[in-house]
Amino acid sequence: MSEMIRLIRNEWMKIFKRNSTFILIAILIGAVFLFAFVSSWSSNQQSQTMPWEEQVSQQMSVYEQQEAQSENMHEKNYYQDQAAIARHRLENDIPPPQHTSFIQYLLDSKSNITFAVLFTVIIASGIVASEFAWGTIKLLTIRPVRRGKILWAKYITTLLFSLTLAIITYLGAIIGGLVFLEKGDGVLLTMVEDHIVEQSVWIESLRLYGLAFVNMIIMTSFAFMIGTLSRSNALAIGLSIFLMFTGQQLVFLFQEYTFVKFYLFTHTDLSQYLQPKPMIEGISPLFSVTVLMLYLFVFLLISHLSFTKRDIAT
Amino acid sequence: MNEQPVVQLKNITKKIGGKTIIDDLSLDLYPGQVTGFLGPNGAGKTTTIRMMVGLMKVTSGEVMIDGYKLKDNYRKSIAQVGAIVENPEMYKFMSGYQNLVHFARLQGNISKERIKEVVKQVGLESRIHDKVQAYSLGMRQRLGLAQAILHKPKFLILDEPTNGLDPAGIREFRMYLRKIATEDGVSVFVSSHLLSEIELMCDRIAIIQQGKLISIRSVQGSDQDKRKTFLFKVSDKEKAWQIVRDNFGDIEVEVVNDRLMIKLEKEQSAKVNRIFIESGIDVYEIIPHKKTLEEEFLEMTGGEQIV
Repeated sequence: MSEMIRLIRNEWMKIFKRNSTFILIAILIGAVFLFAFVSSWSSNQQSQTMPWEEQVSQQMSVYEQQEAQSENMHEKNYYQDQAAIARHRLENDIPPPQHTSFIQYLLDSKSNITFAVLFTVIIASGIVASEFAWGTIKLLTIRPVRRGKILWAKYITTLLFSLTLAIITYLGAIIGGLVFLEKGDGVLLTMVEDHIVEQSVWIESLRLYGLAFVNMIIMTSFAFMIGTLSRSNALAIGLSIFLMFTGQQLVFLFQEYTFVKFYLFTHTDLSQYLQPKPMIEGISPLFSVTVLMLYLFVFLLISHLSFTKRDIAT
Repeated sequence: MNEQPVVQLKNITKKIGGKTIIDDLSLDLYPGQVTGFLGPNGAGKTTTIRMMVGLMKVTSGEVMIDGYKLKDNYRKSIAQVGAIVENPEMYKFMSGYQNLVHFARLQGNISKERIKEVVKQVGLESRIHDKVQAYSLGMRQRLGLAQAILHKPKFLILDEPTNGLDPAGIREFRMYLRKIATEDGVSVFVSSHLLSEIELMCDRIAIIQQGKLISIRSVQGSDQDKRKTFLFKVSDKEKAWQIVRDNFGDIEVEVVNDRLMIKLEKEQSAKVNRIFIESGIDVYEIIPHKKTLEEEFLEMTGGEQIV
């Protein structure tokens, strides 16, 4: 175990002794603050045209209509709950978080995770491939440590790095929000076993970030695999980023076919289950998690076999 | 050599894509010996070295290090190996010291004191905290050596170790290799294209060509050949040539530039000298002409280029 810790410390050192890592982190923090600034700027542009009571009662009638048209239980329940919450707001005079409030901003800020994924993919692609590019792979592997263990240390380090970036993104969003946005007087409500209760913004935002982090782990592992397999940094970064942006589009392209149920990007966004409808018919959270685990297992197996069995001849 | 070999290559063969790169190569390396490894370009030197350190797997045969099979007992056998495979590639964005800390962690129990000691040994004390980026090739070689000896291995593999060192550095390096071989009993395996270097550094030389070991011999080997070529510089070449012909009959003798080249046994050279003087020919120089390793190497490998 202590050997594993030594190996992880080595990998961590190799990431953080590079200036480029700090540039990535600086860009990430910059992007997060920019998001906060733009949110506050755009909220100042929109003047409140309608009192919230009117908005909510409009929404309530939309929810009731949707509920009537719903095709399955999940969807029906969703709209039923939403309509009930809206009714509860009107009866008890509890305003929803305004578009301009800190609460709504923090929930929206989970899209910042995209930057963190992007930068983690860069690190994950390079953590094995760079050793080949630098030629250091030779001095790294001729040691009394099994190659597989070196690879696992690299993978764990990559996950720790992605967690670090996710935390920076979250904390950055909070600080940015405190600096640029007003708190507002809205309250989040949610349905827990037929009771409407107040939901803390911290729990709700952590839930959204947590689901986004699952996507981050999958993309990181994918980039890690391609980097290990191809031993080429550029290919791994390119392919991962390409899939990051096009992968989900393909779900809609292929939605007529049954294989789309087993397609990775049908499942990477788990927050789809917080919506009335998931991306395609006939998938459940359990199914998605199972598919993701299988993909993860295959990614890591391929990386492991490629790293431990192939000759090092560069 | 009565001692047990530290490294044994037993009939190792490497095939890549149906092509035989290394063909049934066997070699024993002993403690306290410096063995040179020579061969023309593409003969399989690097492949052999890579198989010795486990970077490449053997197709058949066995690599034994310190009594363990590399294949079955990787950790125990590789723990006794220190190596620079080709150029010593380091993490350029870290300091020399951080690089050594990195390799020490991979090696296991290596104290800070040991790192300091090694830094001193390779003469990098003043620059060890600079980034490797700023190092000259010679300094990188020194750092490469430092990481290779950090764990006091019984077996040291060096690929082109003097590349980039200045003459003083090369000399220092040679002395150091000899020292760890004789004092610590380390077995050293050096591949180099500088034949004169190998000759000065090594006790034994292994020559490889087209994946086959074609010769293993000690460096002093050529001295054992009783007949040597001597170059005589004399006042009258033609007369001298005639005298040699008359007195020694079947001996090889030719005129090369302003000298007479004669192939003789050692004792005969004195006799030739005496006869010359008695015949009134002045002798200015007698130079024993030793065949250089390069000449021998070219003969053996059929004049292929060496790297």
